[in-house]
Amino acid sequence: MSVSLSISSPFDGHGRGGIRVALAAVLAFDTLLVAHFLASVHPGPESHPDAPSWLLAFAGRTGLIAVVAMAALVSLAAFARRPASLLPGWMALASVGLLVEAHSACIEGPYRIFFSGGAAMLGWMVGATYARATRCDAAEAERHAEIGAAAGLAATYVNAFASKMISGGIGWTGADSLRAVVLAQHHVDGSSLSNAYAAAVADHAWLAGTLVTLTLVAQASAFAYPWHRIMRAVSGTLLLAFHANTAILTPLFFPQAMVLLLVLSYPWPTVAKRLTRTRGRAMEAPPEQTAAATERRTPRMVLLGALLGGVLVAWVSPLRAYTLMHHRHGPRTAAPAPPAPPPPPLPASMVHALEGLHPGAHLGAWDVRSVSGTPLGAKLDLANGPSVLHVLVVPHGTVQGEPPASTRSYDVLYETPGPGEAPVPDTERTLALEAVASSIRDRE
Amino acid sequence: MWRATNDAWFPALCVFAGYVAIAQGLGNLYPFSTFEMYAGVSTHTASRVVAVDPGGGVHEIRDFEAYRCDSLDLQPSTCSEHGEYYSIGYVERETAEYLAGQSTAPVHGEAQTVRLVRRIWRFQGGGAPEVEDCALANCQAVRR
Repeated sequence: MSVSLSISSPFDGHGRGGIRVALAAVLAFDTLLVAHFLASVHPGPESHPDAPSWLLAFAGRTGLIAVVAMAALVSLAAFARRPASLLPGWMALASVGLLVEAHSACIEGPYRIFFSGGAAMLGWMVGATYARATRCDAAEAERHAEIGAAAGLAATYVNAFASKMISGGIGWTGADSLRAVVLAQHHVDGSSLSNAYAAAVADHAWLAGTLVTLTLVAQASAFAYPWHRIMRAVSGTLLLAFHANTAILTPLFFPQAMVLLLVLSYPWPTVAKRLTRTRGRAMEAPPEQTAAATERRTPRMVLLGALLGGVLVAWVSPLRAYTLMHHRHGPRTAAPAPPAPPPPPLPASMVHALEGLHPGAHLGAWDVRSVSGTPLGAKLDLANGPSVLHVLVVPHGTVQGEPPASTRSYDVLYETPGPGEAPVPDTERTLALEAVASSIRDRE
Repeated sequence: MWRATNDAWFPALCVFAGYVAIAQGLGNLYPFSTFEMYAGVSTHTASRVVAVDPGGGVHEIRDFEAYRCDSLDLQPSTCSEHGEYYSIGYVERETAEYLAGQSTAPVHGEAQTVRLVRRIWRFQGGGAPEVEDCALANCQAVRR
């Protein structure tokens, strides 16, 4: 028994010119955005150490960037207007790729927002080129291209899913990583709904865990995205919800991917027809056309060969060593502090006088945090909530001038606040110094 | 036996499988990407640099301009006495670039005292994280 299997697209029976225009618009947006970024960066410590000089030469050079950007935009305009021509699409992909890689080489790594459009465009052009090689007519060629674009876009989410599985396995469903990613980026002030939502995710591990599970479900659904029109709608909706959630919780906004999902996932021509209530005979779906087996054989072999060649280059060539240097600093985590050396001991002559000023002792509103010896005498660190006061106790005559407090044998001084420490108001400081002096007098 | 009734599946499958295989081997080279993003993050902490006003209110760094700070070192090792903590590279870079640019910006308006701190969150259990601040600098800045 044989069963027929066919790919169904939400655009079957309709033209696909709108998708082509949308794809061109997305890549045109990418072109302008990356050109803007590239014009405002310069090579520096974050730049890729192995980037060729000709690639870094684009940074900050407006004229050079404009030439490549214009080539991309002109190609995209031709791609949008003339579907039968393949060269504009491939040229656009190459031009945008050059700008993106030049920008990536200059900064710590590529901005992933540019890759969704590139993947969809790659899929479109592979489908269109294959259709040309198998002598499909214009409508069938556009069908090949549209399904190829859907496959390329879906592959990006499959990669995101695979990366999580490879890095953490099912343990990626743990909540703390998402909570950390949110807190390390989300705004700390304001009373917006977004802030409240981010705070809820940070404060409740169960909510964060649920969201990461839903993220995996959405990205895994992309395996089925290209193959059936219903799965396009289901998976597309899950992925759009994922992007919306990410944009609320973090500054990560992928408008290009969201536009492509909107365009490719739903039967817009059918919806438009029903909304406009077009009268007359419905457009019939063109008969499925399949190139003769003999006409398919060579193009299939060529495409398979290109695919295997690409895989070989990806896994064996030095390019991998180059791309591994992107984001080489990774998330920054401070190393654990080395063990602190023990504080120097108090001078023997001061031990008795400072007995009441041991760590943990209370001096009114102040607590003694630490006591240590210095070349001149003793140092006390006092704390009152977030306020910190560094007090010095030195024998009479050690320093010139009138000390703020004194006892029979010692002068009580204070240090200026350290970096990040708030100055202590004069009244509170005077009370603290007098409390130290009083404790010493009780033992002199 | 399954039989394809049209040919579009073949290039689409090549694109789908090829993109995944090539990107997993290559990493990120346009238009191929693994979209690994934060896939490798495994931490129980988070941190970022924020501004604290005299009343203890916490603000975004960009809520102020024309910073004049006594001393400022944003390197992660500055707060090493607080132990390990996680931060995001691009956020740290943008913060450092903004503060560096604002250190010479003209002062328009009344400056107020703000403290720059690295706020560190630590997750222990399923509830709200513990919060600690690592003091970085005392500054004068103008509220935007």
